[in-house]
Amino acid sequence: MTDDSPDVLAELLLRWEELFERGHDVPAAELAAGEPHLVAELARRIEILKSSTWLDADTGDPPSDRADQPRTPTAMGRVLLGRYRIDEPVGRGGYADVYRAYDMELQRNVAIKLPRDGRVVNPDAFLAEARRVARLKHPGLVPVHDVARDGDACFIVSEFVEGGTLADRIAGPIPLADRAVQWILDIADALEYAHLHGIIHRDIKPANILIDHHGRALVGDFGIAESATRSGTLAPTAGTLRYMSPEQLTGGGDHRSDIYSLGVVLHEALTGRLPYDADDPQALRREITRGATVRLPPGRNTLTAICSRSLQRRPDDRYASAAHFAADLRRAMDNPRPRWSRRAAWAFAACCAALSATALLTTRSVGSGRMEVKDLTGPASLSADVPASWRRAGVLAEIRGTGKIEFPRLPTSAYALEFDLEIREPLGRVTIYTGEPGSGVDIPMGHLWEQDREQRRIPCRLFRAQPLASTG
Amino acid sequence: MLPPENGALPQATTQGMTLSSDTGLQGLIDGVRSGDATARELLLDHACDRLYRLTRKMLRHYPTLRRWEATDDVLQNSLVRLHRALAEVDVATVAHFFNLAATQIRRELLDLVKHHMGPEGAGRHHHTDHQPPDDDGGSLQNRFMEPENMAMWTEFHEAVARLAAEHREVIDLLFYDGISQHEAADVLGVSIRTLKRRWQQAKLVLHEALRDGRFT
Repeated sequence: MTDDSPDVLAELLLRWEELFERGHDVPAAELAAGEPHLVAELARRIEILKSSTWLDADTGDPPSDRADQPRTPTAMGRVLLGRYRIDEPVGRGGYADVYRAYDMELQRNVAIKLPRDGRVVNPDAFLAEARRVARLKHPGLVPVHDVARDGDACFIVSEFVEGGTLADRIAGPIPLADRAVQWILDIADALEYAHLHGIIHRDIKPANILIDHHGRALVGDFGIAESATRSGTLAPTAGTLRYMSPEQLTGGGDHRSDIYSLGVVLHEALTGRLPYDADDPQALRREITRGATVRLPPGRNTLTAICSRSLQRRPDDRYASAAHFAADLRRAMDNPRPRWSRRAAWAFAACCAALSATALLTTRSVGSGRMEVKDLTGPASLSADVPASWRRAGVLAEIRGTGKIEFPRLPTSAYALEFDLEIREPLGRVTIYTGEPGSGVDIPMGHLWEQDREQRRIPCRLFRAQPLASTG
Repeated sequence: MLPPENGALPQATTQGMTLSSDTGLQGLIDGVRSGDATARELLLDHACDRLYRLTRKMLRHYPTLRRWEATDDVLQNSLVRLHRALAEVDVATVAHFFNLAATQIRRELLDLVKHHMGPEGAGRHHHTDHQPPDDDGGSLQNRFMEPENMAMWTEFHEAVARLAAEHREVIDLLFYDGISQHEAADVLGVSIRTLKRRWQQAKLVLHEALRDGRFT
């Protein structure tokens, strides 16, 4: 070797690693084509580095706990449809392995989810289900490029998100709380979208949440496993115990199971720990059934409340929708320190209710603005039968002295939930007008229900509130 | 003999990959320095978590200790000591903290082998004939196998402790402290490329120190 060989070797090794991480295992002879005297040494070092990956892995989990890593990457090196070259295993789900692959046609990395042998009972139904999920389009969902079949192998091709998973972030130093909350918020928004389209994930966990280079969280591997299982296309899968809801343990669950799982993830992202003490599966099952214990650092009262709400043992006690969950997280981010005590907040809400009720009934001036409420489900007219719960919640409007009517707490989940309203089947969107040009706010609404005296659910009416011209 | 890493590459800016923007570690350090007890606790929690994870990694081949609660039993004293050792230190910089944490973690892992693995101690399950068959034509000499018993782990930790500082510090950050490469680059004030180069170099040097990765 010449005097500059060490530097050249180091450069070549870096180059090799760069290509290796992109899925190209370039031979030493090719890398050092211009430096034939270095080939043997370069090959030796490459071998050493390739076998030293255990130094990079840091979870220390026993083999039985490493559910997220493929154990038998049998598809390595395979080319699907003459186009997708499978390069590296990157994850393991309940029934399938996920690989980083290279799309030789479009010359880009992609992620390929490939069910393990014997796990797809009905390939046609599996593909139909996968296509249904692939139609979901949301910034918080990893885009699906292709759903295809090559011989016996069905597979799903999606965008390869560089940047790692939330599991990677949690395994390292604990993320900042606001960063963690923003990630969970991103996921809650995406879940709400999917739930509204009738798709439930059922395996929300840090390893299924990807963080891209912009720091944005995306749900990966969306819903295929469980929605497909429900339709009988897959053999049953156990899911991931640590993130399962109590009802999932007995084979049940709906969209609120995703909310529970996301609550577990929120807790883990904020503390680095699960909301359970038990670690072995049997004890963990018992604890999940008994109820999670939220332990956030002191001073995190709002987040503790949100976490607790999402982790309620009974689905009915949890957030009724991911949108509700998201709204509370948003509020927590906007107001990291509670400005009012609970009592003060109630008092303020009561004042708002009184003002709103007065405005409804008389349409006279309130402060510097007036309000008209129209019933969107019936003839457009002034209405006095606004549900009491809405008025109590101050849902109609907060009228401030500036003459501008603001809606800081219009039918957001926080208040709807506090007053036992639940969002059910979606009806579309309702526009709330604040009276300022261009200030209409589209709020995704569901079908609102409230309980009557016999505890039966009856539909609420939907209202449009808008200010009238000031009468001075 | 492997060449020393001379850092001849230009150091790219570390802007855009700051520790604080990604993980909040710098925020925690600042919090500790300004007397924030919660920040100190979180930082200590992180170090304890690393010790916990690495212990589990070491114990994965010991069926009787594989269950997590058994690991906890073995770990309890080590965690208490680590916590005390770091709690009394005035953490001035991120690098300072991680250096101390890695040293303490390594010490505890070695101590754990010495005192908690029964009367046979480090020699228990010590055998060197379990290497996988060389089935792909490559040389075993060019493999860097993960330690499989306590004796090997002892050798590993001691070999790391003997490395030159420039190699040891990157192993400390990435293996013992378990932070990401971007964070490690930030802690050391070097570009990610330089960090990757040092990491490669450190692994190669360590492989050599462990008699070509085969331990003794």
